[in-house]
This record gives sequence, structure tokens and C-alpha cells, in this order.
Amino acid sequence: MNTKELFKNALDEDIFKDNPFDTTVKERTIRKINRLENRRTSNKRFQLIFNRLLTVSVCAVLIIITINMINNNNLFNKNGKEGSQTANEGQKENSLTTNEKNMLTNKDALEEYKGLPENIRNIFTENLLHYYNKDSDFREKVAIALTMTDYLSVYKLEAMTDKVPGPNFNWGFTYTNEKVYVIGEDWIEIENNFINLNDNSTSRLKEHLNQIGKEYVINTGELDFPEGTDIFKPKLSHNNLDQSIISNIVKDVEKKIVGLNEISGSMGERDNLIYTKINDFLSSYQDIQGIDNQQELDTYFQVSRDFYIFSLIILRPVEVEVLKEPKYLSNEEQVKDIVENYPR
Amino acid sequence: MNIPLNDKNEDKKKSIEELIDEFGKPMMNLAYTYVKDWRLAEDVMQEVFISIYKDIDNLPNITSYKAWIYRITVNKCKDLLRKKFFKKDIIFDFFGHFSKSEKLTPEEQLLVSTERKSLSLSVLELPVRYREVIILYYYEDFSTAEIAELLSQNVSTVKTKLNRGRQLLKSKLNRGDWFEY
Repeated sequence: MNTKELFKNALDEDIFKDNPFDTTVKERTIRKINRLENRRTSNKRFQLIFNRLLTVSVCAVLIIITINMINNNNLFNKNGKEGSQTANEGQKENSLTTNEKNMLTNKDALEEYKGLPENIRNIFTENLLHYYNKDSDFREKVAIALTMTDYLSVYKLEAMTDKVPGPNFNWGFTYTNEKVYVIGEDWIEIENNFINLNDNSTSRLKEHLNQIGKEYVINTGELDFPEGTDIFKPKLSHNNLDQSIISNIVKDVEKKIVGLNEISGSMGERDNLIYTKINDFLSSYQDIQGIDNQQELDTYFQVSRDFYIFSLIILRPVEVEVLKEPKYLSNEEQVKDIVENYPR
Repeated sequence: MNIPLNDKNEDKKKSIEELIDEFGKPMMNLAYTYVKDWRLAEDVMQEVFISIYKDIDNLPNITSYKAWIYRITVNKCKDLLRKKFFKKDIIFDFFGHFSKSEKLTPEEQLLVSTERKSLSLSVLELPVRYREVIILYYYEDFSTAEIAELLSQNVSTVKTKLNRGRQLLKSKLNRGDWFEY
């Protein structure tokens, strides 16, 4: 039996045998399509009736307005007062929603939220759920909140990264046709500051980053709370890691320190966020030089990711767009894109 | 097979029914390899057909229905995964229900018993970028060029991913003789 047959048999017998597709599923699908069709037809009918009603109503309203304009000058004042009350209530509700949204996009507020007593958190959660169900904009904010600690979306990360460094660790940018979206206001600042650097600094920075900014490791392993901590993080344990992997990581840290030192020394412009950021990376790497414990390993992954994104924005080996907030395509937009842009 | 969706004289609903008969089940299989849940896989399959039906009057000329439908399915799945990612996190992470079960689902428990089963499980555990290429190549019999077109990627990228997917499977299964060219 060749590999393909083995593969097919394994999937057919272990996974796909549970496929529930049958006539019921088929009928359910057709029913959904019929419902769509009925909705379309009734929409057309409704539109016809609506147009007629609209014509009649417009005539009636014109007559009423004319009579009212003649007889009731005070009407507008009264309505104005009521209108301002309604506006105040609306503002109150808007400000509550805005606060909740702000909390969701604020990393510190989220941390605070996690620290609240459970009963208070639950009440707050109901409120969040209410808005979550009601407001698509709010759902988008939730998505942003969840990516706050991970500026590249998980989907994009998965497309670019490996779980842990292999024995011959040398993992660089993966070149694909896909545009990479980097999300976060901090990165927008980096991008803007880089644009303002002079040509000399720019070319030196790029030259160095080409040597140290492309090798990149990130831990995208399963997330959990390690025992005795309240930090939600990848489960990878320092104690269980192969020594060769640790030694590769240590080598990478050493290489980064040498490179960052060179960049820092060669940059003429020092009153700049890029210079500050380079020195931040340098001191972060210096602090974890030996990768002696779990905390240093965790910090390594965090710094490694941030430094990679930093290099990505500057080197742009692929098309990069830095956004304040993520943008997602809806299902309809996806299909439209495929139908329009990939004709067969 | 010929399902003339583009033919103005054909009964569109009948054509869609034919498409469901032909591709419904394999589409659910493909969707399952992304979303790992049969109900979600059914949702994906239904959404694909509904989208096709909505745009039925404006469809381009379709030469390969299988590739075309699979492409829409793959995109729907990825779209859903993005949504599913944050929905899942809202329930289990964000809203304070942080405990995550270490136990395998009954389905997973059953799967780990034999080597063949561990192959299936290993495939489903691969990162999406490798999993999709492996499934399309080994299970759906698409060529690398067809996969590249279907996923809108370079042929060389697909080959790299296929290679890397094989390596990952080999290391997971401890079987050097599996997944050779």
C-alpha cells in the first residue's frame, strides 16, 4: 500500500467515517437556500407595497406639515426640549458603551478586570455579553482586545512561525504572497519614526537588521495557566526542553546582543524612538543572556516576537501594513473577492 | 461531470442540488480538517452553497467545479477560524473561565490507540498551513500546481509547506519511511 492509500485509509476510517452528511443534512441545506429564496421574493413584494405606501404617506405628510406650520409655531420648541433629553440619554448609554469598548482595547484595564472578584466580574461579563450580542462594532473591539498582547494576528503568526527552534535553528522570514498586517498603535509610532530617520541611519539600521532581525523563534504552543501562577501563556516548560534547543536560543541571544550593540553604537540620531527601542531590545536580551529559568525563556519568546515585528516593519521583506486595529473580511466579502478576482 | 451553473436555461436550484450531491460530503470532510467539528463543518458547507446561490447569476465561467468549490470552502473555513478563535477565547479565556481541560475528548481518546489512528490525529494536529497542503495533496489528489492555485500561493511555497508538513508528520510519528515523495 503506498503512502497516499495509507493516508486516505487512515483519514477515511478514523475521521471521515463520522461525517454526518446524509439526506437530512442535504435537505437542511436546501431548506436554507429555499428560505433565502423566499426572503428575496417577499422582499420584492414588500418593496412594491412599500413604494405605494410611501407615495401616499409623503402626500399626507406634506398636507399635515403645511397645516401645522400655519397653526403651531411652538411645536418646534417643545420638540427641541424633548429631543435634547433623548439625546442626553443616548449620550449616557453611548458613554457606557464607549467605556466598555475602551476597557477592551486597553491592556492594563484587561489585567485589572482579571483581578476583580468573581461575582463582580460575572456581572460585568453579562454586560459585556449584552453588548457583544448587540453590537458588531463591539465584537470587533473584543477581537482587538484579544489580540492586544499579540500584535500579529494568530492566524498570520501560524503562517510564519515554527513551534520551537529545531536543532539547526535558523528560521527566517517565510516569503509568501500574503500581505502581513501588524496591529497596534505602538507599531504605527515605530513606522512613523523610522520614516523620519535620515538616509544614513536608515541604511545602517537595515544592514544590521538584515543580519540579526530575520532569525526568529516564537512559541505558539498550547496556552494554559502553569500551576501556581495566574499567567496565561504557552505551556512549554524550561525543564523539559532539550539542551540543544536551549543552547541554540542562548546563541541567538548572544548574536542579537552583538548586533544590537553595533546598531546602537552606529546610530547618529539618538533622540528618536527607534534608537530607544533598539536599546530596549538590547537590555532585554542582556537580562536573559543565559536562559537559566522559565521566566527568562518566556521573556525570550516575548522579546523575540517583538523584535521580529520591529524588523518586519523596517525591512519589509513582504508587503506589510501597519494598522491601528485589525480588519476582517466577512464571509460575503470573501466570496465576492474570490468570484471577482479569481475567474475560472 | 457537468453542472451548468452558468447556463441561463438551467434550473439553478436543481444545479445546486446536484452540486450538494456531488460535493456536499467531501466538502464537509475538507471543512472538518480545518474546524475539527462536524457541526461547524456542516455550517461551512451550507454557507458555501448559500453564497453560491446568492451569486448564481453573476458567476464566472467555471471549468473545474471541484477546485472552485474547494477554494470557497477553504476560504470560508479560514474566515470561520478567525471568528472562532476569538469567540472561543471570549467564553473560555476572556470572561474568566480560564480552566482548560487536559482530558482528551472521547473521539481523541479513541484515536490514540493505534498507529494508523495516531497518523490521523497527527495530521489534524499540524498547523493549518501544513495541514491544508497535506490534505489537499495526499487525500484530495490535487497536484502542487493545483493546490497553489486553490490557495493563491506560489508553487514553490506549496512545495516547501508540503515538505515541512511531511517532516513534521515524520517526527510526530517517529516513522522515517512515511511521506516520502
